[in-house]
Amino acid sequence: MAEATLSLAAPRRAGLWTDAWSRLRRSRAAWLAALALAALVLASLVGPALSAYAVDQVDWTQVALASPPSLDTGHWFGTDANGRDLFVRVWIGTRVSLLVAVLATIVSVVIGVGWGATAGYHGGRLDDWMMRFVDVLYALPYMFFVIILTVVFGRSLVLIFLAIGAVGWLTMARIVRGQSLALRQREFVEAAIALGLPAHTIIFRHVVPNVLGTVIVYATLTVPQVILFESFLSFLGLGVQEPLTSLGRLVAEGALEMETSPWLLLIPSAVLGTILLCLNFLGDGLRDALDPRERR
Amino acid sequence: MSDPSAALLQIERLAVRFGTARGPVQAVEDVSLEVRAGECVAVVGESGSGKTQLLLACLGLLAQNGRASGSVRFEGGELLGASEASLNRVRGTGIGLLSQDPASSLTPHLRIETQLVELLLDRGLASTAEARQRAIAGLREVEIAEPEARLRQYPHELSGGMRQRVALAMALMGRPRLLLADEPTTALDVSVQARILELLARVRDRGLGLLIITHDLGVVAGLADRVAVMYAGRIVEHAPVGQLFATPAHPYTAALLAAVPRVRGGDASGRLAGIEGDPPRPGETAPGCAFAPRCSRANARCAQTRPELRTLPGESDAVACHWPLRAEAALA
Amino acid sequence: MTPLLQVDRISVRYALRGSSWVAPKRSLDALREVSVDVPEGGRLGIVGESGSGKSTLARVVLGFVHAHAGRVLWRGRDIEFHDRLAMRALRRELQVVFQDPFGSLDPRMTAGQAIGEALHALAPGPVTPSEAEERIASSLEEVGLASALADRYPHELSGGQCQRVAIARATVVRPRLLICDEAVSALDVSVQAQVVNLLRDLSERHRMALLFISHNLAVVRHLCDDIAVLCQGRLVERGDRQRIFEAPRADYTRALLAAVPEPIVRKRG
Repeated sequence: MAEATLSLAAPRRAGLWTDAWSRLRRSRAAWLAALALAALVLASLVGPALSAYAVDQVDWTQVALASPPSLDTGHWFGTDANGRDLFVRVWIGTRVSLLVAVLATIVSVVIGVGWGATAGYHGGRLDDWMMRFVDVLYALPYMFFVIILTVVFGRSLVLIFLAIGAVGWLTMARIVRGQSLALRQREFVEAAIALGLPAHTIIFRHVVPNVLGTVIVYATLTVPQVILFESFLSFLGLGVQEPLTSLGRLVAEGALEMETSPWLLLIPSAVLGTILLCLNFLGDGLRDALDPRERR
Repeated sequence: MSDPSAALLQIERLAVRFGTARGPVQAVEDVSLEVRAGECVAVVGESGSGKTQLLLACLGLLAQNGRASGSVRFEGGELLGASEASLNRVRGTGIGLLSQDPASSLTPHLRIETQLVELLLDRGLASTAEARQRAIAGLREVEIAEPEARLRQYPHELSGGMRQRVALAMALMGRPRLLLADEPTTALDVSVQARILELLARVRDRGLGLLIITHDLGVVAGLADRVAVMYAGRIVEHAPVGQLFATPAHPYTAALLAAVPRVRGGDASGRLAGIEGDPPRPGETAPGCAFAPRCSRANARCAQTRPELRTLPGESDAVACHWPLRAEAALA
Repeated sequence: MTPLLQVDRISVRYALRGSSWVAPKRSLDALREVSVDVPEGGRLGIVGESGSGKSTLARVVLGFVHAHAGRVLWRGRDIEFHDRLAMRALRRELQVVFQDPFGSLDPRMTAGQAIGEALHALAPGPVTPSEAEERIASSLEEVGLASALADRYPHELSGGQCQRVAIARATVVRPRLLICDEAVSALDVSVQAQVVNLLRDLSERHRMALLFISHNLAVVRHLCDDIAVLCQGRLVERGDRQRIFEAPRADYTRALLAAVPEPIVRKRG
């Protein structure tokens, strides 16, 4: 409802999000990054179907188990040390890594922003209690926490998202809380209070939009952390399990064979690197797009 | 003007330009000024008039994307384009700087003593023991009671007025010949303002040159010998203070004086004489006089040709206006 | 006649931070038994230096700060700061304009959206979109801005324009009292004069009372009929404009008046 009334109030400029969208489209770097990401997502979805091999299929026809990339054999990215097709495995890994990263980041952004903005805006005793709670969770060794979760509830991808997100929001909450605390002192927030607007309206209409820039930058930094954390969990045997794989796992496995079969390291690293680079560009573009003061 | 060696600071045709994403922005244009020893010159202007950039350019403190051209000479030595090392020799010991906000010009986590003697020790101007004595003397000079006790304190333990006096003592620590002051009283309460103005007047009477940047005409009145009024990056009027206040020649100066609310005299129940419209933003350029859109005397000529700053016949007042208020009678 | 707003022996004490756990609580008296009142359509100026408690007074009336003693009365009745419904009705009649022209507008909202938000929050009934657009345009016009500026973001406006938008937002529902907390202090002299004139016009046209808080005696002299002088949380003197400026009784007021630097050149000795 609020959205509708505001958009009607100003006919030409339809609102924060519409404006942000048009600004984002004007940023070439962000736009290219978005296109590249879309291409990677598409590849991860249809890539495995293009190859004649399955993710867990060992190709016994090759001379060596790890054969280099070649068009003739149909192993476009080569095969790994177990003779499995890397092309299929890379795109399956991309699919898993992106899913984990995006969902875990969304969980951490939603909880972190909501928690932090509420604590920061209200301040006082509520803030004290909410942030003490965050401190307590911080103090728990979170590796331990995730391990217990997976042991108790069994392994599943969904659980990994939740576990990583549930830990990731703590830092987000602290960052947002600090910014909200400063915003609360700003006169436009006081003016909104003087209009008699309820607290949740002020938080979501005036406070949150003004911390989004920081949130997005931090969120894009979270994604690589999550991808690496996932591969660490997998390494411990708690993350995704064979024959399923993830980019983090592929890079880790490739590093072992770096000297004999460099493609096993180079190809997954290139995909992972491209994803992170694109997310950074997109994050910067989004931050600028969400800020009407077009800083350059 | 005839003897350049008499001038401490000589600014000639100074221009400051900023490179921005939307193209170059001209912040200061064609500004010439000089400050002699024992003289106070005030640069008056509203926000965006370029007065602060003028001061920063003099000290080589422009932001990364700023370029200054023209000439700024201190005691005959060129400052524009000078190396950082030679600028540093002048900063502090040749030219002191007093900035607007004492809360930000003092480092919060260092004791007053450390900040005061820093410069002396850094330049090898005094031994540690001497430096402390000079710091105490410096605080006495700005009328701070119990200077020994103050030296041990941190900035946040002092009141705003006290902090600004400490900042002044700090600016004078290296015994500069010229003091630049950027809005030195703006952040202070009126009762404290008066003290700072008195102290600045005393500094001038001791023979220092003083260049004050301010938006407050009231501050100028008690302190300055000459006033340069800036509008949209240019000097529009440059005159001795008495003349400027009594008979302003530029319509902008006159309008600005009329817009100041007064504590005494005048009709308090009437409307204030505001100037219609807003000052142009930096970067908005017009071929003619920048004040023309807000000026009641402007005509087609003002919108097309920019008036040069010229001295009025038989007077010491320079004004950049096609239709100056005072010359009317003389020229007619 | 009952005044519109009555502040009756208000005292405010702030607990100083960092002393709550170990050391005994220290506190600071921001206001001590201050009483002022504003009649319907009247203009009261509150003058003081930093630390005088003048802004605290405004914040008490707005309900941002809790007074530990004293009462605030609106049309003779106590304001119930905890009664949300009553406060909602009161907000319609009591609005505020702050000091910082850029800080008092949300940088991510256009001028029109800011005014629209106020309109929707404060109008007694639902407002139709076309009616909203009309009222936004007319409130902009009323403060001397073109209605085309409704589409601008704060950073696209000058300081004076931002402050006019803030005034338009506060007056779009025609409040009976406008609190101005240093509302013209951050503006350039030439623009300040325009805004002072605007506030005066609005006050006269709609019989809207002003509680004008400022450190600038000269501005207050040009705008207010009654003046109260605060010093370190105490009311030092109050009276009508002429009396305060021509025959100040308190030493503090006299000193304050004498300290104001004016653009008049006196001969130097």
